[in-house]
This record gives sequence, C-alpha cells and structure tokens, in this order.
Amino acid sequence: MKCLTNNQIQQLLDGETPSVLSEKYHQHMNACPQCLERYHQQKELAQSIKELIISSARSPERIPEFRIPKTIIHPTRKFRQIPGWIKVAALLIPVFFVWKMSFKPGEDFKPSEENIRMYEMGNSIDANTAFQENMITTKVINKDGKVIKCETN
Amino acid sequence: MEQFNELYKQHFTTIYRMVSKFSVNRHEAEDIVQEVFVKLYLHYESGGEVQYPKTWLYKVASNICINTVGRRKQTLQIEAVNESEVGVSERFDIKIEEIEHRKIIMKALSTLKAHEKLMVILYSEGLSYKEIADISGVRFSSVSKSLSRALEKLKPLLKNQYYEMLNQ
Repeated sequence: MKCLTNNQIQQLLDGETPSVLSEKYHQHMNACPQCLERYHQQKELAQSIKELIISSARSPERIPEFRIPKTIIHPTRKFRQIPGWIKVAALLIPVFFVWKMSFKPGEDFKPSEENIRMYEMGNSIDANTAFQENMITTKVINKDGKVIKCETN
Repeated sequence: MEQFNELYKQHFTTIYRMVSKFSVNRHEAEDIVQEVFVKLYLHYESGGEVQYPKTWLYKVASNICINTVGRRKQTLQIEAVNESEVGVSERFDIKIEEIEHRKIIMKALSTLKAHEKLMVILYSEGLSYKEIADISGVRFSSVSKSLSRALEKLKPLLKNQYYEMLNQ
C-alpha cells in the first residue's frame, strides 16, 4: 500500500474513513513510521487550530428576548396595507368575466319560419348536383384577366 | 411558535459563538444572530418546514457573515480605515492579551479563501464532513482535502500560538 495522503490522514483523524479503509490505514501506519509521524503531527495541528479558533469565539452576555424588528413587514401585514378598493376590484374583475362568459340572458334561439325553410333547403342540396345535372361552366381567361370564352354544358 | 422558541433558546449561543469567529464585533454579531432567527421565524410563519434546524441556522448565519465581512472589506478599502480596528471588541474590560490573541487568529483566518475560512470555522464547531459540505456548498469528497490544505496554510500564521498551546 502507498503512503497516506494528507487528505486520507485528515479523514482518519475525523473519523470519516469507512471502517474497512480505516483498518487498512492503521495497518499501514504500524508498518510505516513516516506516516505514523505525519498522522501525529496532523492530529496536533488540527486539534490546536481547532482549539485556537474555539478560544477566539465570544459568548453572548445573555440570550435576549426574541423580537421581530419593526422594519420587517410580515407578509400578512403587507396584505393588510393594500387599499380596500384594490382588494374589491381584484375580486370583482374575475367574477365579472366569469359571469359574462357563462351567462347570456335574453338570447334564446327562436328561428323564424323563413330561417327554418332556408336551413332545410341548404341541407337538401347535394354537393354533386352540379355534376349530376351537367351544370358545369367553363371559362377561358387571357393574361389580362378578361374572359375570352364561356361555355355551359 | 413553540417549536421556534425552543430552537431559539437551544441554538442562540451556538450560532452567536460561530458568528463571532468571523471578524465581526459584538454589535454586528448580535445583529447577524437576530437576522438569522428572524429569517427562521418568517420561514415558520409562512408555513415552511426545516428538516435539520441546526444545519439550516448555520447555513443562513454563514451566508450573512460572509456577506457582511465581504461588504465591510470593500468599504474599508475605499475609506482606508486602519485594519487593526476590524473585529476588535469595544469593551474595555477585556484583557489586551485576549484582544491580541483574537486579532492574530482573525488575521490568520482572513488570509484564507472564503470557503476555506468557513470550512475551518465549521470544523472547529465539531460538525461532520457531511454537515460542512451541506453548509459550505463544497462537495463532500473535497471536504477533507480543502480542510487539510487550509489547516496547513494556518500553521505558519499561528505558529507562536500553536507552540504556546502545545507547551501548555
């Protein structure tokens, strides 16, 4: 096995090495005095720096009572600050559109007799009638768009 | 809000201590901790949930600290204020030795890159690599590498303090 890297030693020190690897590393260190020396040096370094940084920390004199600063506006308070007419308008506008789209008073469908006759006539016309009755008109148009020849069968 | 009150009492000191490890003075530390808990309060108020409150608090606190310290550095460069004033407590009853000691550590930490500094501080808090990775945004596999590198960088800067500590 190769000598341990600083990274591997650090993991070992912090108990972050998987148990299988940890065993291997310890076995290696027992056989390699250099790695064992580095392990102890790094342990001292990590521990000392950790303690030095801890010693630089300050503790609070006391735990103050929690108060929400007045400058921070709570979301519900923000809603309360919106003028009433905007809230009413925001509610009424969509309601109006929904009502307008779904309900149309006074537009009952009452077709006249003529409408019914036209409808029935329209339905009775077959699209092939023109062919069946040989009512095909042929027009010949020149370059200027004038009709030169017009024939009806 | 019972849950919030409990978290506030439980974590206030921890977060305060962590924040004070960044080069911030007492007032700034108090403001930052207050801001962190206001964020947590609003998060709960809006119906949000926090799976790991400790990690959440650390993450928010560290982001605010990095922003505060970064912003102040820029201001200091513009105004050319004496560097020795940074992070020194205004209280007169603290021993000068302690102030000096703290100043040296803060100066050494300020030489590290932002993410390295954060990692070292979180490491000193006794957090696991997974928590450090979650909070700092560094990949889990890179934590030990960055950490050992940062500790090596700090070694010459904190040489005197380091040997003093070893001799004690």
